[in-house]
Amino acid sequence: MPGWTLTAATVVPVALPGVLYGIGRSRLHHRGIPWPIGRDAAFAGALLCLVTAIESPMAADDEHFPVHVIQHLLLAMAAPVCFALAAPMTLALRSSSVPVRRSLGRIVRSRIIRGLSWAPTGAVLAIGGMYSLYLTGLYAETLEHQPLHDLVHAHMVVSGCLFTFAMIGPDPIRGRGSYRVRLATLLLAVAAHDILSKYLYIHAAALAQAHPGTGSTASWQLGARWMWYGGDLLELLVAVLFFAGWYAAAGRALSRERRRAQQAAVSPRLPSCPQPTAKTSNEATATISTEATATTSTADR
Amino acid sequence: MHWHHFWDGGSAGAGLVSDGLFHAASWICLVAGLFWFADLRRRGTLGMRNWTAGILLGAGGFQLYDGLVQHLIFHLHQIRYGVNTMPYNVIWNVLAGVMLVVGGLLLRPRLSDPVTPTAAKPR
Repeated sequence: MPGWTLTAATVVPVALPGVLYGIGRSRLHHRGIPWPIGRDAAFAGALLCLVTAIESPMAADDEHFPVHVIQHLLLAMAAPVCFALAAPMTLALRSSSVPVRRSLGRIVRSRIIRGLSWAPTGAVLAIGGMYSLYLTGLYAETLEHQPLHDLVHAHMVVSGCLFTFAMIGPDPIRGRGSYRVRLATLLLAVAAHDILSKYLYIHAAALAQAHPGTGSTASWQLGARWMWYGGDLLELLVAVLFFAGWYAAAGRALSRERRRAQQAAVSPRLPSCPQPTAKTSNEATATISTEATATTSTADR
Repeated sequence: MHWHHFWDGGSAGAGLVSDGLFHAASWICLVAGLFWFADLRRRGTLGMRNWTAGILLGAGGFQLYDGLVQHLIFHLHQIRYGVNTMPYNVIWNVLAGVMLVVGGLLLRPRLSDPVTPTAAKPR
């Protein structure tokens, strides 16, 4: 196809995850294990972001700074958010055989993976990568050497994923950090991103001169603004998903508390169960609820 | 919202950093606040009076800080350029004060307040 960059370096990184995901899904399907279609959509979305960034005609134009920024947003933010939402680790664990599952489990619990899964690690690698790229001679080097260029792209995806998996991934990641740590990470990451975008805008003229062939001062200013607005939008999405995760977890805990309160109200002499059974007669006990407001027990989504 | 502030030419290094932090913090507070609001609602412990008081105190407090520190002390920016800023500053700060006062008044406890059992917040 004209304009499309279909080489080994661009096709394999997209095809390989797709194939692996497909294998996992078909295994679950054969065993009759359901998998939320939203996660399939998320994974497809992630691959679409990769295809757009590195294979579509846009990729051929990416020495132009504003185009590079869009690539960056797709590779470092949009694709990682989608990958995280697809819960690929859960898929891998559920679809693999027991010995493979045990090995995967051991790897996931290893100290090095736990260190990488800590939210600040991903943030530092992603944001630190950005700062190094634009504030040192690294960006100029990537324009000269394609392998380095590809490596930087790969780093964007991987570090972005480390960040999003820790912040918003439904996968069972150990060591991602408490809510407070992750919130602080989000705050500092968003701020650092903002600051860099504005810095690039302010110094657009000097940067355009230092990187011949990437565009004029106006191009660099445009790219910096897109980086700011686009980054803002995607970070807002991360914030919403992060707090939505908190809200859902709080909702589950609230439901458990209410079930326990209702059980205690109905049969006060029975020992309280740490794990209430799913089929409590909620309708009958709703009127004896000790809560100030009447609640429907199907409060959780 | 931020059109004229994308870079107003006045931001030095420290201004750039504080801008970034302010921006990040305010968006995160907005999202967090909305989810927190939703959580209080489903628990039945949301007090509309306290919520309104919170908004007024927050907005009023920030407006006062902006009106006094940023406009008058640091001269980071003005409400409007090319005019006598005195009436603008007076109205701005007085409005801020009014918000603070009303917010504070709303927080006073009343005899009619119901005593609601508070559910423990999960971590």
